[in-house]
Amino acid sequence: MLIQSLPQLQGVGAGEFIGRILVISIVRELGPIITAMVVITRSGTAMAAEMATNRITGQVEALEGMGVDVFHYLIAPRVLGAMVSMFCMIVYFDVVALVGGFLVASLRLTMPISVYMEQIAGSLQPLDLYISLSKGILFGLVVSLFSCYHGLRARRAPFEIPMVARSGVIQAMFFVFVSSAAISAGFYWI
Amino acid sequence: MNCVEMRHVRLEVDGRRYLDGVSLTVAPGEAVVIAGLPGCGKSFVPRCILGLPGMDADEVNLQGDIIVAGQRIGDLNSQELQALRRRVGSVMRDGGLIENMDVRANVTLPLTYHYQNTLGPAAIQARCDAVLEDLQLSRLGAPGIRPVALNREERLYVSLARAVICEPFLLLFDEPCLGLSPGSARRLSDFAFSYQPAFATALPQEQGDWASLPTRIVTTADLGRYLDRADRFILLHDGRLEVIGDRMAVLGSHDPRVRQLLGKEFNPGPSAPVMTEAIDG
Repeated sequence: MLIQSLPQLQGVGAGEFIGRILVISIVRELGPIITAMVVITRSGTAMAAEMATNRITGQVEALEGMGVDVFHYLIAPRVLGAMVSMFCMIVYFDVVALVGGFLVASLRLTMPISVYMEQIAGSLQPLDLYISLSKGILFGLVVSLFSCYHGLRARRAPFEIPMVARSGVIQAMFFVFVSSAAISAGFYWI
Repeated sequence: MNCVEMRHVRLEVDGRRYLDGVSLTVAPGEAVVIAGLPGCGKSFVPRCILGLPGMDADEVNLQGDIIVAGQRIGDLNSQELQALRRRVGSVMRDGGLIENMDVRANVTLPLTYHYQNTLGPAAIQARCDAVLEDLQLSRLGAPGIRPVALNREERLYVSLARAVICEPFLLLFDEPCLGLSPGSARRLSDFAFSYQPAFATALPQEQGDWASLPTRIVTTADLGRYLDRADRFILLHDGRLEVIGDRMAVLGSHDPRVRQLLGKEFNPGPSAPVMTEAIDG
């Protein structure tokens, strides 16, 4: 993004806006969405498939029969884990993306490191972090809930496992994109 | 107070009627075998008693009263149902083991979930060791042995260990010996009907505790395997329960359905009486 946008901005004399653009695009928007996509494809599918397998092989019924609360025992730990891990992964993603921009700026382009750092530090506001991390927590919640819900919808046969995993992935992705846009729009209006 | 009571229970699952006005009373400490041909719906009897009549179904229609230890299943909220289920052990057809936990974690699961704070880890592990030793499964108690490494017989024994570790007042078995060799089935059914573990530490006293041997309800399509073990035999046919009686009544029955479940050919004599007594409402 830096390679594409910085020469254009410098060409029209707007190079000083690169920090703000990076912060908005990476920290507010791309960080949560790309992290959510990674978690959906890597962990959401696994969660849905595991829940479906548990259901089809009678493990959920066995837990219920022992008086174990399935939501408390199977779903709640996954939801909490997904929320915490999504939060942490967004922090990692933002740091790596901004450091990557730093490296590009220092190696390939004409922007001095000190200028880049000043622009990032000056552009990064608490609201950017609030938006990014609140999205992370929300996405972690819905990705895990959608995955578990669709996984537990499986009933009888193993052929249902990829079907429910696919449903969970599609609905989670849809929700992530729509809610990301809604949150961003809401914060801009605020 | 009866341990289990079913009154006029009708159950339809996905449009098919499995129980049609079934009534059943099981006294504390009684061992009852419910026999029926494959597909007759006998597995729904223990499921109804557990309050899980059709977890894998799209549409379940359950009518009638199911009373366990004096509590009407339909009136219980989720917490009360969980409190009841933790004192009911069940061994389902394939064991129902949790695949991503090792054998020891499977056996101790109900204890760690319900009694972690009152018993403590040491007492829980001691109970697990005692049960595994009684069932001659100590070698499976090593960390890291998962259910996928077990054969069917071992899975059922681990499931039995898990079922008895909370000292249930009621034990439910759904076709426990299905698919086992005759020797293995005999050994497992011996344990199922007579095994009562003795633990060094007691569980907290709860409402519904029963001092005697747990009540046992077994479903099967093979009556002969349990003839010497159960107190009473009941036939499930066309959604209705019919009491056959005790061992002698089963052996003396000329009912072709009973003979079929005993694995014997039916040769009706001129005055062969049907020994069953209808009890369904």
